[in-house]
Amino acid sequence: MSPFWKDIYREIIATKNRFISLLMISLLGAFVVVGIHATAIHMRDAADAAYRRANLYDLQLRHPLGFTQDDVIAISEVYGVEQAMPANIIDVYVYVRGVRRVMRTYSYTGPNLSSSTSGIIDPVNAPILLEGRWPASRGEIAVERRFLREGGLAIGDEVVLSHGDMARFFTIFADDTFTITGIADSPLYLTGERGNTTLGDGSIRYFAFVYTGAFVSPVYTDIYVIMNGSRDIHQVSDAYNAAALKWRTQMQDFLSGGIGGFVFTRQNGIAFESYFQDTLRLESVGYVFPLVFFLVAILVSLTTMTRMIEEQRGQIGIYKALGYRPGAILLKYISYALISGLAGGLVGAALGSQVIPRIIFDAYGHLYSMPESNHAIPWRVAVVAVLSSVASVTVAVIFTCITTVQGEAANLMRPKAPEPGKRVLIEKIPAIWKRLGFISKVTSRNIFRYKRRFFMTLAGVAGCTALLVTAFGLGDSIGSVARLQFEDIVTYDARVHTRELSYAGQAELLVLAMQPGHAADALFIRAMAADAHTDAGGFPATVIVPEDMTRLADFINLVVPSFGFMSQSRFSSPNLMVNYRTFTQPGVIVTEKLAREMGIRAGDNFTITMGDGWSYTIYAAAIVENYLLHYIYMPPELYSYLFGRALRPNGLFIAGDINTTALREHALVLGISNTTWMRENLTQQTDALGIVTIVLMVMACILALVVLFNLTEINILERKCELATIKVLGFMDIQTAMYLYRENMVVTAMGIAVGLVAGVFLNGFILTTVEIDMLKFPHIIFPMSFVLAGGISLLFALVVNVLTYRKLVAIDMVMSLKSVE
Amino acid sequence: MSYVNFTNVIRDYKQGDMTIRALDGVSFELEDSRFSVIVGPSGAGKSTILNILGGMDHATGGTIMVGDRDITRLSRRQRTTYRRDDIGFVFQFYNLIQNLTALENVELASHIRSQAADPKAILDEVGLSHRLNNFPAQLSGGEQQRVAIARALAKNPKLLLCDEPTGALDHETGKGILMTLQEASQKGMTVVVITHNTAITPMANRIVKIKSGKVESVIDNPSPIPVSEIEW
Repeated sequence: MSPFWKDIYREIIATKNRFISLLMISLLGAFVVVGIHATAIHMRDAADAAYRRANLYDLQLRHPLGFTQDDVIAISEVYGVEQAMPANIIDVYVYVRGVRRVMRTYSYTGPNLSSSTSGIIDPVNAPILLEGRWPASRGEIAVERRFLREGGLAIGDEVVLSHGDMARFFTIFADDTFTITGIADSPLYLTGERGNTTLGDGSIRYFAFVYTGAFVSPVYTDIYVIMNGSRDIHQVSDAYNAAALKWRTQMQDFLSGGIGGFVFTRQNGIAFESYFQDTLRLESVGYVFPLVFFLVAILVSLTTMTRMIEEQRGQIGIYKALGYRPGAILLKYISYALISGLAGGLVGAALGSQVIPRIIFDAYGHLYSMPESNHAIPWRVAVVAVLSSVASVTVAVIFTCITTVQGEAANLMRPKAPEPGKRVLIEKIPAIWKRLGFISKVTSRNIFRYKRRFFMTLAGVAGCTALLVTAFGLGDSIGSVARLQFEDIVTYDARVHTRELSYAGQAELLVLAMQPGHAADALFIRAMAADAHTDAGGFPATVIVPEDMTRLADFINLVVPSFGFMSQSRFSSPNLMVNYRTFTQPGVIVTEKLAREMGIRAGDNFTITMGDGWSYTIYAAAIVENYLLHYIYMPPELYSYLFGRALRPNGLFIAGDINTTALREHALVLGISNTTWMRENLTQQTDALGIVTIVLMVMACILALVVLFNLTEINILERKCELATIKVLGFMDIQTAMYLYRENMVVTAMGIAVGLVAGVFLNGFILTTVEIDMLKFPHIIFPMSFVLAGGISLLFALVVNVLTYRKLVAIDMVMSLKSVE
Repeated sequence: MSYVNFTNVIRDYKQGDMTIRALDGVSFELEDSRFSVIVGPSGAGKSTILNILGGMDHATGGTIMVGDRDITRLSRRQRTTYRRDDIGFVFQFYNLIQNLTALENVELASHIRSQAADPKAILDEVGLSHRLNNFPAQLSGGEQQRVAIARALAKNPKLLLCDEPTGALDHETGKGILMTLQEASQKGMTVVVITHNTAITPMANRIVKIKSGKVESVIDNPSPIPVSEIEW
């Protein structure tokens, strides 16, 4: 080893605490950023592999009357279509331990039923047989494991399928009793989501595969299509989504030419899209959060290296006296920083890419039954992260060294003159200053004496506190969405989906719903899917037309959106309510997120395009708070005016106890969406992001510890002489410690205060970044989160002080006083 | 009457496997309310004597009586109390707290001592009543050392220990400082000054000469010369 490297090596050994703390900070930054990105990439790659293996559909074609065999052939010959596979998808009832559940049945088709122009015939959405065998005759069915588990059934048992309208059932199925032949899994359920149905309570509980011969209807309900070139694109990417939209338009054009029917992409299957969106959200968190890490890292590196250079003044002087050029001397310190940054960055990137995906993927595991795949390292992000680590430390070194190494050798070998004392601002306010005790005066002056360290500590503590507030706040927001939407916004207890209702039908249902002991109130509505758009783009929304607009507020809280971050119950103030009772203008009420996405405010116009292709320009009279999905509330008068017909409801809101049994059995009722159930469903979905929050929280805590430890240690080192002096004067160990701790605590408290405020903004920024189209995260931070964030920072400051107490006690008075400060 | 009594004091420093003996059986006595000088070349061990006497360091062997107290038997905590109540230190480089004014530096000492003198009065005594609110950086070396003396005296110590108090000062200023110390001893303070400068020994009542960790000689001076008459 050359003397140069020997010197660096010994320097590292001699100052290993400092080296490790620099390394740790680089490590943490790289760990978080690489880990989160690795997770996102890993999730997408796992899905990509799974979709390819399953030969997942690109387009799903659906026709209310069904597709004929000729239609299937016609579609398989459309330009760009590689494969078209017809299927029957029917939702039915099954009784599981006496409870009626909805099961979605798929026709099990062998490869021979798939039409292909290229001749390659793999089944689309190939189901996977886990146990037993595939159904091979009319009365056979393969079910998912969950069904067997919950039903206490086994292969070979019989299952009876039913429908509210059994006459209709037998136009589809030859028989209603099936023998279970096997256990199967479907790629359509990879993401764990089961989707909605118009049957029963609106949720699909199970899926199953029925032998295709069991279907007696001459038509297919669906055709799954795979397009040419689809497999050349990463299956979970923006590029794929863009291509899918193009294919959809193309197919829609074809269908409207004769066959008719609807076209869906994977994006319409909420499960696939929300999985993709989850990875994107993860990535956006992965950009913003580490930024704060790196900022703090730069601050800490600056402080640490400043101290190091101060200590090494004499050494630098000697090198200079020996004739070394400034650059050569600088190189030693740059190398020191480079090694710590590089080592920390590399270890952090390596650990992060392996550890974080496992933690998060495990957490997502109960939501997504994605197969495990290799843990890829996101090279681009890793390189950027390691370079950032190295750069933040190295830049700090150059910044602090450059003036010192250019100094005169003789000057450098002389000790640096101590920084002169200065008066602080509050001394100019005698009212306060006179009241302060002697020690308080000393403390206040010392705090502001070392301005740089003061700001470093302040920023370090503030940064960590802000990260903690953000992490806790994210948890609060995510955890609150379901509660806010289904407690504070939605006040109805159930929404019943019905066929289009005549007056007689309405009366019939009303009687049923309002039976004694049941619903207290009901409101008939018409719900319509629409595309709401402005120049800013189009967004899928639901238009809800109540039979009486003035009664809407009894079922949905129409409140002015607010960005309050502390209030837990913001609806206590009645003047916040949008008063539709005095609302006379012929406009609609738009939910906040939709208004924001479209870039409109109350008073602006926008366009809605209905399912039949007609567009209408309407006026947004008011904006109301809402967290899940987009809604447009339209007065019935406007409905009649726009569509030229009287309102015929297709559903109703019910407040109070729901007469579920009676309603469900009614022929006019298609399904019931229970508020409690929808809330649980949403809670489950948002749980996954909570895990990410916990990972971030732990990281923020470690960062806080490292930063505080480093800064406190430097504080002690820098003031050894001063502390030795007061020890000589006869300050007890604890008094000496308090002399320093009082300052630490005041700065920590200030840092925490700044951090709590900064955290609100950081949290707001991150929330906006991680939001997806259909979901709005409330900007809420519970008081408890502030308490916890501040408390943890404070606790860490205390812990660090206790840890450094030994160093303080060990200060050798004799050695420290031999030289000038 | 002897107030400080060193009997066969030994101080060993361990450095790796080596043991360095800084004090090798040092014995001497110092009188109450007198001005004593411990003199010797650099590295002779005189600072070690002062550090041990001042409770900043401890002896490896022997006994040191201060008054009727054996300070070699003190615990860590007792030594702190001893420093606080019985000892005033003055250093070559003053060791003032840069961030405190002259007055506050003195108050820092009086703050922890129950029987402290009035800081302002003490500063007045050392001739700094006009510099109370100046920071150390705004004071000359001599003035800074006076503040240091005032800080030591403010605690009403039994011993005033000075380690090369004029080492960083020019001739005239140094003389002024020594005069202040001599005045203090005349008022009844027991003053011990460490120096390598033999020229100032005539002002002392007793001179202890140290060489290579041993006492070379103890000389009593029945008629000390006022500092103003000493030249070096």
